[in-house]
Amino acid sequence: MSEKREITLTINGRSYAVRVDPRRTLVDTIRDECGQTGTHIGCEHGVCGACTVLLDGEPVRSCLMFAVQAEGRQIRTVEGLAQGDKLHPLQQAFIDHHGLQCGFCTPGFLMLAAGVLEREPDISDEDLLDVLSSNLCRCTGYENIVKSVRAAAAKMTAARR
Amino acid sequence: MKPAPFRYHAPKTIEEALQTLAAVAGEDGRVLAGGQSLVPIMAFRLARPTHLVDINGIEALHHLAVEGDKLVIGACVRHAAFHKPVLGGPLGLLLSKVVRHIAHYPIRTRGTFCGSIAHADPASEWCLVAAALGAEMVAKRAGGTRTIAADDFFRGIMTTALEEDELLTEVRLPIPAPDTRCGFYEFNRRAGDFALAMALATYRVENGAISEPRVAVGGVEPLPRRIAQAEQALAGQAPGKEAFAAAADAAMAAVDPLEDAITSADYRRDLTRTVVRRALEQAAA
Amino acid sequence: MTAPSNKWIGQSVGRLEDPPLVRGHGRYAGDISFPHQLHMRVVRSNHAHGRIVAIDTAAARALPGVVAVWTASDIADVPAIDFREGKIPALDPYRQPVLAADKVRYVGEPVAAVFASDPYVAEDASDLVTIEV
Repeated sequence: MSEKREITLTINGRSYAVRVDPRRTLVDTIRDECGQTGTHIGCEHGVCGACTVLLDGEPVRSCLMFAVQAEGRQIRTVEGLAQGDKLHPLQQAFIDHHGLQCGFCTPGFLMLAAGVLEREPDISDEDLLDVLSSNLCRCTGYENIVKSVRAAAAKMTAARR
Repeated sequence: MKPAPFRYHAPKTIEEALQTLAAVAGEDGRVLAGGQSLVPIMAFRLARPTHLVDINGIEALHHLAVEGDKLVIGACVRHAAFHKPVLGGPLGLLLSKVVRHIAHYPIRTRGTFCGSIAHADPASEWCLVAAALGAEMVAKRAGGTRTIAADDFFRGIMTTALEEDELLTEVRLPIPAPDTRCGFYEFNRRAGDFALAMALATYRVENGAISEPRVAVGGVEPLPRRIAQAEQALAGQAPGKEAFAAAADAAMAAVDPLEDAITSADYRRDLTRTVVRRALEQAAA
Repeated sequence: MTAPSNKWIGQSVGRLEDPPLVRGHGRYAGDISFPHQLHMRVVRSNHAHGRIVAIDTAAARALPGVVAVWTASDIADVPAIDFREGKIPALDPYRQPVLAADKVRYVGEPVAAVFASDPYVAEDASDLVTIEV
């Protein structure tokens, strides 16, 4: 019934020409057809946030989008955060402040935080906590994730001055 | 956890969308806007639309503007658009306060105001706003256009007056007078959960007395609605603890709450009183 | 006796796994991907207790992309699941079979397994398996 469509996805600045059923989710396509497995599937119904990617700079749940909907948009995943060897301040902060244990939820949190801090660099702490409450973590108890993001936000603010 | 197969349509204009809907509605065709409610349901295969009509590519539906005395919200306007007040005055502030209660940030970047209205979940904040303020829903089909008042629009749980082949193209919210006081209060067990009960209250004050009161309750019954008895308890009274308590009691007595495996009708009834009172206190603050 | 080394004990030590994990280079079970691999989907009982009258897998097997649909009879040589404590002959009759054979004993008990080229197809096929209880 669903005929496959030829589409091009732009992920971390690179083009991927793929052929997918309309029902193939964006997250499956990013992971399988495009081979970028850093984005993870947790619940597959939009509640855990492990699948969070940036779509034109905004955090979205890629398990709730179909790949065919993302053509022509700029997708950024965790693989695109570091600049070569240089880690993104958020990545470094998660390491420094023990913001991950198993690491499964981490890419989702990194992209969520990256997206929000880029769009609202001066976000209030209260709003930041509200945003971070979007994603689930089974390991850390969240405290160190919040610490890591706060630390990164402070570094990013200082770097802008 | 993967959706059942469907045929995908991505019309570029409203006309095209209406033609497509006319053709596929009878075969279980559904509109895809934000997808934040529809796609999870499809993932569970509770919904298996054979056609999806993706309206995100229709420029005209991203329209958000003040037209006369109404705020016009197009079908593709995202929840996130309301994070900062979209207009001056009490309505802009109210919407920016209410929006924070809708799910979570990444859901709000895709989910749409009109999508919530068409989906008509009893716990939808925007549906409560529409009912409380007397919104008008504009529905188009290949045959024509009609405007449906909020009173007529919400029919029950996930049920609206929309026909299969109709597209909700915009919602028109009446803009309250600049001196209108607005309050919103929602109760849930965890932040981001569906509301167990919520209330939206607006009123003006003339000569020290409440005028034009609106009290609406959502999450408690199959559909959101204004509670006339609560409004009557407020009209002409001085705003304050006594009047608010009377309105809250009246609301509690007037509702016929939903009951489910987790939450009893009694609990929702009790919550009704509290959320109405707190919404009024918010408005007064 | 010489004092034990304090090089690591009591020190905060950086984790070796963090750098690849924050880059999304972790290798999780879900990332396993071999060429031509199959995807399995388990069909489960909707009944808490009952006698299995029939399992119809014909429609599922006919779906393009489906390689096999197994029920208990297809894996008759696979033993029931031993208890964690090991083989205890007296408990043999109480072990759970890998796939329910004559009875279903809980909502969610595996009754059939679909193997397909693609997880979407596997799920489509599992919808087509009917279990009469």
